[in-house]
Amino acid sequence: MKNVGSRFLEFVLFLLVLSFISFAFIKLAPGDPVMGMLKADEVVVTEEQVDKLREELGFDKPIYLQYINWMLAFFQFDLGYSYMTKQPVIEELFSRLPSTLTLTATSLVVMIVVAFPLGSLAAIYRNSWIDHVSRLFALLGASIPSFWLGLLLIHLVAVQLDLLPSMGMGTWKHLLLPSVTLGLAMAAVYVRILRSSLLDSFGQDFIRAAKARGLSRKRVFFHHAFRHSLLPVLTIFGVSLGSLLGGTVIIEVLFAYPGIGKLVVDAILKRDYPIIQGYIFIMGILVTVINLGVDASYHLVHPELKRGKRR
Amino acid sequence: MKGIGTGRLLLVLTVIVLVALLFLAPYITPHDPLEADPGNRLQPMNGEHLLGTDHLGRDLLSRILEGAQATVGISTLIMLIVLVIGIPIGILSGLLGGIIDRIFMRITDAFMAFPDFIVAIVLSGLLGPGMMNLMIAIATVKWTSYARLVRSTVISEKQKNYILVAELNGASTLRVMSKHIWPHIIGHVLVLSTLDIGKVILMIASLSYIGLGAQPPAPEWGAMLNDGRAYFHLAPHLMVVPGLAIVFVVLVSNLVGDRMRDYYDVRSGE
Repeated sequence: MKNVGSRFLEFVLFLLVLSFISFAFIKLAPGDPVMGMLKADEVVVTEEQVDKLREELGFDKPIYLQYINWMLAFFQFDLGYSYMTKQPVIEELFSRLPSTLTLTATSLVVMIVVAFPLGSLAAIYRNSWIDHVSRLFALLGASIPSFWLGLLLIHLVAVQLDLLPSMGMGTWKHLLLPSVTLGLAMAAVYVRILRSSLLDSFGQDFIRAAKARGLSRKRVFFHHAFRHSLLPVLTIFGVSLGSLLGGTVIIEVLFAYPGIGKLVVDAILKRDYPIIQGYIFIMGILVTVINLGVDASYHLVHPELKRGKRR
Repeated sequence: MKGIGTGRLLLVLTVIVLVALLFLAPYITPHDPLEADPGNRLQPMNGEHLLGTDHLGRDLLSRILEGAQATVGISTLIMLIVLVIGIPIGILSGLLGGIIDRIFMRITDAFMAFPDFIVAIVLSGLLGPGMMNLMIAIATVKWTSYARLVRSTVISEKQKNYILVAELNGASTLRVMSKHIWPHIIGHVLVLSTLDIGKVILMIASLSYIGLGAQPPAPEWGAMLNDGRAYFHLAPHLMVVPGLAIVFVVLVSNLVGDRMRDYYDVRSGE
């Protein structure tokens, strides 16, 4: 495992590059942000107001000074103000972040509840009907767009049967449809990975040894085979946790769920650049933390990695 | 050699029909896909409009056919752009090694640390909504995995003895590349890109659905689903038809990708 120090240094470097790119993009973007902010109020804008705001925001200074000021502010967690709501970007983001994290967590629960039993059964009863079901499930999961699955679920469960609310948030009922949509899409990937990983373990000597020692089938499966099979699952877990955060964007828009993804899409459509910048940084930090966490969790599953052998 | 099974034959035929439809779309649409007809709104499937009409009275079949060019055509175009960028960079990186290799690999590392979807959303956010910008965003996300694949193929092949023999016999680098290494590259790239194209189609449709890709009235499948959303309870075909179109095309491309992977794995195991 690379040491945490160099990882952190890389991360800071990465943020610097990222900040430069996003700063440059916003400067090059068509349209004047000052006009954008003033026009949002739908009143006549005077020359005086424009100049005043331009001075307030420091837009009258040379561009490198603007960048330096912007960076200094960034390190004090000041990401500016949203054009849409006039609220500080950091507050907007942090008020939405918990909803997104909740949705991510509940989707993971759905994924585990579906994928682990189905993947295990497919491996234990190889080439039986349940194995074929799991294959079909995986193929469809890779081919159905999550937003269409969500639309179908909304139409069936929320509109036709009127069992659950189709949009918004508040109660557990609001979380159910979005989590199922996202969780099912993810489960499709894991079912097959868990299956092939389990089949691989079943052929290993230590499983035969465990059986020879007379351990029960249940014990052999849970304590030996299953645990051994989790490493490949964990390996792609980090990647898919990241893509899950991406996937929430579509699902949040679909279910009008007020998370950070819905916020950024609204911001993109309304050209609210400070929010987009804020989103980039929050996601950058989140994904890096996830990657570090996954690295660390390898060691929990496979203690022998501690002795310096990586993967 | 295995004979051609029914499954494979069916798959090949399906692909041929799909590609033909894709190219013929502008000539065989029964109606103008953009022409609104307020008197014929939300018609169910009937003789005049085989798949019914949408909330503006536009013929759904025509829109699906025309939309194939946006959804599937643009995805194919993106894959081509990705290959044109990724393959040369991968070859250069693998052949030259050294500082150039390290620079390229650092760049791909940075991209790969981040989920495709988030980078694509952020990029199209910075560039602004629209199909062109979406293409740029997805191509930017995707080229890295091809560059890496090609690079590792080049590196692993050029260490093998038969390359050494060829070089000892006086073959130029160009000849070694084109005659010996290129066939390996193209096989790997073909498999990865057929497996990938379904993902690109899903990405285009999803991002268009949330308004970042195709803009109305352009008939893109994801955008069509967004367009018709308010009318699903009155006209369920507006939801079912574009969705099934996406699922079907992605399913076929995934099946072809799986077959290709098996085929090339068999060959490399010889």
